[in-house]
Amino acid sequence: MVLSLRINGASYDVDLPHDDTPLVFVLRETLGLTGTKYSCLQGLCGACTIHLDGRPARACQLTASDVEGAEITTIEGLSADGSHPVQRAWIEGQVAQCGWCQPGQIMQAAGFLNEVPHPDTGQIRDAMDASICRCGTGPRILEAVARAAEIAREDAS
Amino acid sequence: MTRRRKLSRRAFLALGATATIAIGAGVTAYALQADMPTTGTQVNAFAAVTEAGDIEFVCPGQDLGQGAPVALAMILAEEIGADIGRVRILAAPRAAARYGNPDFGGRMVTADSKTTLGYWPILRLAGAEMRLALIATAARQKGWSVGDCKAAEHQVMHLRSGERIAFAEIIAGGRLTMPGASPADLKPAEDFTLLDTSPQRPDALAIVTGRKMFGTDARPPGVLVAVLKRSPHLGGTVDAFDAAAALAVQGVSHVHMMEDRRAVAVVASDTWSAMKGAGALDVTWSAAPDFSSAGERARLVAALDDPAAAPVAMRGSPQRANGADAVLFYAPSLTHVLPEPLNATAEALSLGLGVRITSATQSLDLDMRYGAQTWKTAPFMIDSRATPSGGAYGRRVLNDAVRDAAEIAKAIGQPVQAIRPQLDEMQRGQIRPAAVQRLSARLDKQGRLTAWRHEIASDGTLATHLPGSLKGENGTEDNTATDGAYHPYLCADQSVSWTRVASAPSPGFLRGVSASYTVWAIETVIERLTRQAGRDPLAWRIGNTADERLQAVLARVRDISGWGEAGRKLGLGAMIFRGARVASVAEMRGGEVAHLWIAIDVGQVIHRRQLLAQVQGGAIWGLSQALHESLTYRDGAAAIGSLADYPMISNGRLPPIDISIVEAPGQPPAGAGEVGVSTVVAAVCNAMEAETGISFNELPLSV
Repeated sequence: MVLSLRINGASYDVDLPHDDTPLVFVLRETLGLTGTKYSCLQGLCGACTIHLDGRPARACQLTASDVEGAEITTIEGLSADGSHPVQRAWIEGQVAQCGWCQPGQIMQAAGFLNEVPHPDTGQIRDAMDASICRCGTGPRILEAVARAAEIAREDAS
Repeated sequence: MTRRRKLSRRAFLALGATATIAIGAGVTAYALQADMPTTGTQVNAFAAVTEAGDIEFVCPGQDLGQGAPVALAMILAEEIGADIGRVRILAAPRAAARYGNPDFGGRMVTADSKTTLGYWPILRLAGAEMRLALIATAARQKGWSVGDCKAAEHQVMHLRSGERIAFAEIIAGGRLTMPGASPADLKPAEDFTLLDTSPQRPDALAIVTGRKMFGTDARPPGVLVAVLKRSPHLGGTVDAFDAAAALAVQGVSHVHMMEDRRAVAVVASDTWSAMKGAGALDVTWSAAPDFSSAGERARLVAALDDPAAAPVAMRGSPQRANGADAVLFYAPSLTHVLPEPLNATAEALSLGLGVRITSATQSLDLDMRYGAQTWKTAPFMIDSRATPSGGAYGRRVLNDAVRDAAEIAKAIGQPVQAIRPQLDEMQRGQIRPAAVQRLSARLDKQGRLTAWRHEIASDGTLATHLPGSLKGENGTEDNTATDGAYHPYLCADQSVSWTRVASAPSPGFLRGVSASYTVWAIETVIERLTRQAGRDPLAWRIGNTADERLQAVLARVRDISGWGEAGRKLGLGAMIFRGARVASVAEMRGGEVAHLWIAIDVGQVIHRRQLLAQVQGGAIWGLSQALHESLTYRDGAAAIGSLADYPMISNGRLPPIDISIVEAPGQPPAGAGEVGVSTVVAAVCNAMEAETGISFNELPLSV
């Protein structure tokens, strides 16, 4: 079955051998967008977080047919040059350790800030609670989300 | 072996072409494979300088995320006087004679918090050689006296005239003079300008844009994917299997039963087809063993009183801690929860006589060993290479995905990447083994520690997998089971011993290793004894250790935490580990960990923010172990159906963590990757005991 997907502003026709192929593998292996990672494949860790129409979603729990017609954004589409406020805050805060979970963390944070541009600490904690970082970068993630909101405000003013 | 001989056998001093290095190092065939990644003029095995004047650093440590490559580059750049932005980090080939870590018996292993520690003297000397070469060459070109020159900011300066010449100009001016260097040429610590700063990691932008390529991201075109169906219970082997349903899955090309019959591999064109095929495979397994965590715990307890057991003595002669005041502590099995699945790619070379192994790994040398054993060929026929790892935490040392990849690729005659999904590894993979400890001790009337009896019973990772690496005078001590047991307190009458009890799950290395339970037991007993005796636990520790650096760290954590203030529920943990001095204080409020304070002395700080990140990450790991983590076995299998069955601390529940560094410039850098873990477990336990009045003798701690 050939499906048409909108990803990072471009259209892709994909012909998948299995209807149930998780979107994360369509992105990584069919389309070569390996910036989206995976760990648990059960929707519990957040490593595969992407945006569907600007909202965070877990690509391991979706199939291509689930997202036909939606605007999909992956880490590659957030900004290729690292200029998105969340990416800038991540670099400034030297957040990453291994970096594997960070695309998912960044997409979770960016999607959250789309909806809540002026979050308080408690809202940030809740928004980032279900994205696992086993290296323990959590404190810097929470700080960087707050900083990203600030950077976005500075950009807007 | 003296330090100088250790250093010189790495073919220090001026080297020419790769072939010269190979012959000089005496491992011709081996090194002929190990192509040097440099393009510039090589001054030694670690440093070259390009025509543009950039420094090329041949990095012996793997990129696991802990930041070792940039930290090691900083050590080299500091000695050279190079701009860190003009140092290119290139992965070293597998060539242990040149690139092995002296603290790892000369093997190329990035683990055990020993990378910065082990390479510090070597990279300083390598940097000094480059600096002296650049200075000698500039002096020759300009007619300066070498003694009037200094290298800094990627230039050589003539101190008398103030004239400067950039590294690029020096290289353009003719061949390098290479005078060599000795430890006497190393920069004094007061002249350091780069160390203890926080330059950006070179991969920072790649990470936030999704361009950093890890092992599973970098599968070459045409390489198939293998996923194993492994026994649902420990130790199971295949009685019978029917491949038909798996082969009917579109994309699946091969089904291969592993030689040890412990798994059946499904090979496909892509990851999902391989996973689907493995799921569809119909296998009949041998019966589950009679193994459970409860039964294992009973066996560990029984081993402490088993007359046939032969405990390994670590301090004093083994004595039982079986008085009325003895406490039994239990720490459960733990799993790594690796973010990136274990993975390895095997591609035949030289008409199938050799193999290229590419893996997200902590050890090129151990990958080579696994590859050679499985491919049934000589080590020099193995070309082992590393990709960045999405998390490692010790799990990628005994990187058994290499065995899977090599066996399957050889069997089917095609290149294969073996991928082990996270849940599969959690259910059947390597673990930090469970441990029982029995501890008794007393304070005498003067408050001095006496009659210290500490017994540990557990399985051992080295004893199981690498018996040749066992430590101690008799070659019987497994430091994966005993790390942290050497407490830093004055005590004339001590006995510390370990008894190995082999168990069913496969033991592995895990961040913090045994120290997260040995230090927990030690520090909990110390805190209880001192409180019961009406003594301040922190002041007692300062007064009862001979280590001045630990005393300073204890005083620092006292000051930053407000230790001793009335009404607060605080607990302390302290230790010396891999040369680092650490003291942590936890505060409980309303049944929650409200705050952590950590004071550390890790010797010379290399990359300041990465150091803080490592300690903070370790503290979170410790908090998670203290409060949540436990891998339980029932009916011969791990009782885990999903990631949700292995609770961990989450981002939203983290308390504030304040870290204070007690500076010790010029002291050798200590290992920092694991030091956050263990004292936090102890501090949280002691704070919970202060809040509740309950004694917690079991991890995870729960009321």
